[in-house]
Amino acid sequence: MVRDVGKTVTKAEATQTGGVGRRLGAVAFRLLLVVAVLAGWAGFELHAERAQAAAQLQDFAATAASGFDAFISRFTAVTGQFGGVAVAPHNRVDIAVRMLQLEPALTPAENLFLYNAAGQFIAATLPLLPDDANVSRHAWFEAAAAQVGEPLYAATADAPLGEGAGVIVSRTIGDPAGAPAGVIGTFLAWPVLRALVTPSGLPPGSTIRLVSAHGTAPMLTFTVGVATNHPLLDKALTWIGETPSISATAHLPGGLIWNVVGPAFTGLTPTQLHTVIWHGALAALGVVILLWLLRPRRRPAPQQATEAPPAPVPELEWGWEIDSRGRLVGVAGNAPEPLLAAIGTNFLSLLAKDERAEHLREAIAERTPVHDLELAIILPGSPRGTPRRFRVSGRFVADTGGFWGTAEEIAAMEPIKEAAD
Amino acid sequence: MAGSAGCAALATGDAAAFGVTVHSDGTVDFALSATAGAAPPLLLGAPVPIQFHGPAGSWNLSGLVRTATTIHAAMPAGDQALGMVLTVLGGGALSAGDPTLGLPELNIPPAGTAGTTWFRCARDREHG
Repeated sequence: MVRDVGKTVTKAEATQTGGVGRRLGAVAFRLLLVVAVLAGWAGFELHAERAQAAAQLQDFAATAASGFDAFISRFTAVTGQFGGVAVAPHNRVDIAVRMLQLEPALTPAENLFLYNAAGQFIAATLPLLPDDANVSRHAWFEAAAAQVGEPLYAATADAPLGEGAGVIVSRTIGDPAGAPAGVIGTFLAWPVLRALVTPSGLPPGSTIRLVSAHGTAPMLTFTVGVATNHPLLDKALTWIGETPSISATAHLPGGLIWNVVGPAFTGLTPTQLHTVIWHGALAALGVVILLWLLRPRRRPAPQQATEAPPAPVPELEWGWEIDSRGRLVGVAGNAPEPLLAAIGTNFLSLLAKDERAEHLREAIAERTPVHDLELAIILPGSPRGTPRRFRVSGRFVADTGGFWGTAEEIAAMEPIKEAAD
Repeated sequence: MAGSAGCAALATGDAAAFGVTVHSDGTVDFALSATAGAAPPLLLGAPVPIQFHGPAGSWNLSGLVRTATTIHAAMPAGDQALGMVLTVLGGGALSAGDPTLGLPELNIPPAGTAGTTWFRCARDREHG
């Protein structure tokens, strides 16, 4: 007689608590995995975006350095033509004319000027102003006169022979005998200097600092445009240890340091950001599908015994299942009717004690399968010593920690003797 | 130096005035005029040198008497002319001929920032 109802109820009772907990855990794990994959993929793409922006910023640094380097090269070439010139008052007009001829090569700078070693005005490409007839006490001149060789940069509030603030670029020149004869220089107003060191296409919100190796304070600090902020993105990046800004540095001639700090994702449009998130979602979906495909398959037999409707078993076969504590929790198929009364009791206690019963006990303990093991089962209500013999197979059920198997009664069985305790 | 219109500049004193005009046709005119009665009449067409001395430089220029009170000189616009103009804008003393002519000397003060503005105009005109 088949008693599936009794089997189902007892199985539910045995697995209810643990099964629900495991399922909840699995759902939580998958949810966390989806979030992790989404965040990981988005982070990967954003990291790549950031790296690309950093590389691009470094290119801008190289461009700025190249542009400034070209200007300094022109400055060096132009001022080099005054080396060996007699820096004397009688030569002023000729020097001024020469300066006027060469000054266009210094565009966008203007006002090429020359002072002798004592700081007295010699010539310039702008009219002499009374206050600028002697600059020997000016800080920029003192610094320039003290350094021979490469160009020197000095910020000033008042341009020599002009008005406005900016940077004086100057260098000493020698007389025909090679001795320092004077200081020749030009002037870059702040807007001119800004244009000179700002490559076109620099991301909005980038802050450029121009620092002289001769001074600690930046000579020039300004921000290009207005950054398009992504506050949430910035916070998220900070949270995962990524700084939302990037920087690049270039060393310019004469010890000038060009530094830019720019937002890493200022070029990221909302559409691009959505695309990144969408890619992350697709990646997460892919992982979920992969996990589903690779999910551990339940063994067919326990599935039949525990959840799915029991498959038809041969007429003489019946199914059995014990829990992790060895208690009989269910039977199915043509199980002997007296066995129903044994549900809840230790299955091993129903066996006649012999080597084969011991073998089953060890198999259960070691979770190894048994096949066609001939066992003597003393069914409830039957006199002790008159067991019925069954051919029993079984295997470990991972879900419950128990065992599941089938049994078939062996006909024409000889009574067996119970082993002594 | 006082007064400027476009790229013409004029410096005036009690007894004389000096004007510089940068033309877009590529010439620069220098004109030294004596105030009426301040000097004896000049011989028309006579060559009279113009001299300038200042903290920014010194130069000499060959001029011709155009009217009884005016000495005129012209030269092609270029860096040479601009260089001479630059020195004038820095201030100095302008004179013409030798003292026997009796022409007054004109002391030109530094043009200051107004002179700088004017010079940019002149330079742009000269290069344009």
